[in-house]
Amino acid sequence: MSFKRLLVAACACGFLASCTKLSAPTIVIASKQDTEGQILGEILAQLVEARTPYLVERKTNLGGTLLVFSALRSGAVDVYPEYTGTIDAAILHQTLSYAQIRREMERRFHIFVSPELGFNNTYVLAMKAQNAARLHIRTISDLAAHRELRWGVTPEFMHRSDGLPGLERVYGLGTVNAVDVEKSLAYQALASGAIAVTDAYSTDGQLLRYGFVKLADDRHFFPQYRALYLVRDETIRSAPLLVPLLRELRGTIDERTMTAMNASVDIDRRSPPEVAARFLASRFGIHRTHVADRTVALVLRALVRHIELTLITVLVSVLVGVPLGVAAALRPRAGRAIMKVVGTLQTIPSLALLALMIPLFGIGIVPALVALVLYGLLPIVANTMSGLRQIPADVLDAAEGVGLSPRQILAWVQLPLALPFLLAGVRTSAVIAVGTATIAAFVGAGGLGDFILTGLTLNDPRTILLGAVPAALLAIAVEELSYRVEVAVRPRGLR
Amino acid sequence: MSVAIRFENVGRSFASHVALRDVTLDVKNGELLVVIGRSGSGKTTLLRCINALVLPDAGAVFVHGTRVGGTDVTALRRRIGYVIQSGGLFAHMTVAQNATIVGRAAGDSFERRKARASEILSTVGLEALGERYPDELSGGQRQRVGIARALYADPPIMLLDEPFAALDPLARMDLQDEFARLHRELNKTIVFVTHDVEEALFLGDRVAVFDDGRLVQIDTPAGLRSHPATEYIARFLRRRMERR
Repeated sequence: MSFKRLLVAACACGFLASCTKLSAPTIVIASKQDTEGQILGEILAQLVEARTPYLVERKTNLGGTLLVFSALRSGAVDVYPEYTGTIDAAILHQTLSYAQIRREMERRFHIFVSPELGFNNTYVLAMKAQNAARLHIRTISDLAAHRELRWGVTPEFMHRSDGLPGLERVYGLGTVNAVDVEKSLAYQALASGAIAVTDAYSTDGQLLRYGFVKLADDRHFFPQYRALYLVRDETIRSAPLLVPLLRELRGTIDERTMTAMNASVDIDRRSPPEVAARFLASRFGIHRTHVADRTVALVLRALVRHIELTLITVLVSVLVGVPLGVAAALRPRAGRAIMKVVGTLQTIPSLALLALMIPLFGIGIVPALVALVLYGLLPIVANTMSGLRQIPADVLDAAEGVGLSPRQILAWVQLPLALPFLLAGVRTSAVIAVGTATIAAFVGAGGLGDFILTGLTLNDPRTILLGAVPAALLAIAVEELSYRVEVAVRPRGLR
Repeated sequence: MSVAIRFENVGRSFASHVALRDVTLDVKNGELLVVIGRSGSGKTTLLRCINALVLPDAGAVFVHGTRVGGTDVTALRRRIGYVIQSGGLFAHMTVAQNATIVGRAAGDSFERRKARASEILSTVGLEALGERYPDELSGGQRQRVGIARALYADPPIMLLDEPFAALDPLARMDLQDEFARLHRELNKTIVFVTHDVEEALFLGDRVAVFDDGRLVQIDTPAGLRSHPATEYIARFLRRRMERR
């Protein structure tokens, strides 16, 4: 298939999708970044698509609990899978029974809690099998005798009260020798011997792949993490057919089934949609005709979205940044304030800035664009300002002396003379935007970051490269292209 | 002879120093007055008071009987040609665009500006260089463009602030000769600031000597030579003789 036809096909898909969206209610189904969340999100999504007239918009890969939950509360997301233990610890901050959780979520947040799906995905501690056998460690209590072991735990586990701090207390482990490790790296570290113990989820498919053993929680420290879906009351009202579907899913997924599905994705490299489809086929008799893998089309669409994000960001940054730069150059006191604000924005980590946008703008392209623009402002404001300030005083003196009005001086003399600086700032800003836009996938804005995020989650380098390579090439292309534009636009006489 | 520019007890201070102290003088219509003094003597401030780039904090300046600063300063400046030492050309504009910027500001038609450009550029001897950019010109040529720009609106008054100071001696001599010719032909009121005594005596109908913000003497070159008012002026003139 030629490049052009692919592009046309991708555009047509987008167009059709946006047309049909107008007719039926759309349910936004989200999930966090983990494999299990994606499978559970996909199961519900496909079930809704097969059994109801509703349309489904998928927002998988949405960062942590607080991010997704605030998206749910703000209405940017309608449904996502969650666990009782997480609701207790991170949302309601008390340990409650299922019935109590149901009541509290309704009362406090107007959120409907679905029936439990069946399995309990709690924390376990995992070790290499031969290591555990050699040291005669079968339970967590046995670890108290082996203080020398190095633990590598996820950042979340490190700090949660139902994670490491509580575990140390209940089992009398003292302060264990722990470092925090990204989830996707922890198993490799465990297999290589860099760490001896790590936290895991009981349904994690990777445990099967590496042949790690789970240590028994003999004092029943870890709380129950029973899976269910959280749904906005408003969504239930506009899409009431969701309720019988959620009831049908009650108790359909036990721990073994879930572990096997996770392993299919993490080890056998099947996609979450495919695994979800198999589950629905065997359990509900739903057969969905599988669309062939359209990787190239998907990458292209992500690339187009990435370019869109970048272009809009640069355009808005120029429209906002140039006037700010002009104001900063002409009024020194305002200039200091402007530079301080814009400079401070730049120091906020991009991920944090994105997270801050969610309560304000929900998820999707809007919060991503706002964050990207705030990020892209500094080079444009700073360069506009220094471009204006480097103009020799005698040139401005002559402009004023021959009778140009302040506005004429700005438009005919100052801005043209500052243009080379300004364009260099736009170029820097554009390259920053290409890079930062990869993070926009965290808030569901799409783009090439989707592949990077999914690949990191699934520990799949191929998927990472599908996003990373085009993003890198795009950055180089943008740099090169904007340099040429810069040279072409630069006024003669300033070369 | 009527008065073109009048200074009445003009004073002006800046944060660090006093630039003008109680200056009173008249510039007559059609006269070329050279203002001379050391750097910091206030001569540039005096010039900038005429086109309202500086407003006095004591006394008043009048141009053709109208007090400067009261009316629309932009309109005032378009009736006064202004030339500065570095030329102050706009690097991103051609010679012709630079020379006709005043017309563009005033809303003149393109045809009018084009016609005027060829007139004023040939007046300063640059008729062939209209499409060049400033960085393709010599220092002397840039200065001529500056003068052409000041001539665009055919203003009755021209102000020049050390226009030839940055040029090499030969180019300076050329331009001084030509400027003297221009002055005779165009019959404009001109205030010309310099720190070059020779230039002052050569060009000036009258010469005003400034020291530390004060007008020390104003007279014709001949009067200045025969009756220097102070030892400072005598020394000024003597140094010039010795150099010869």
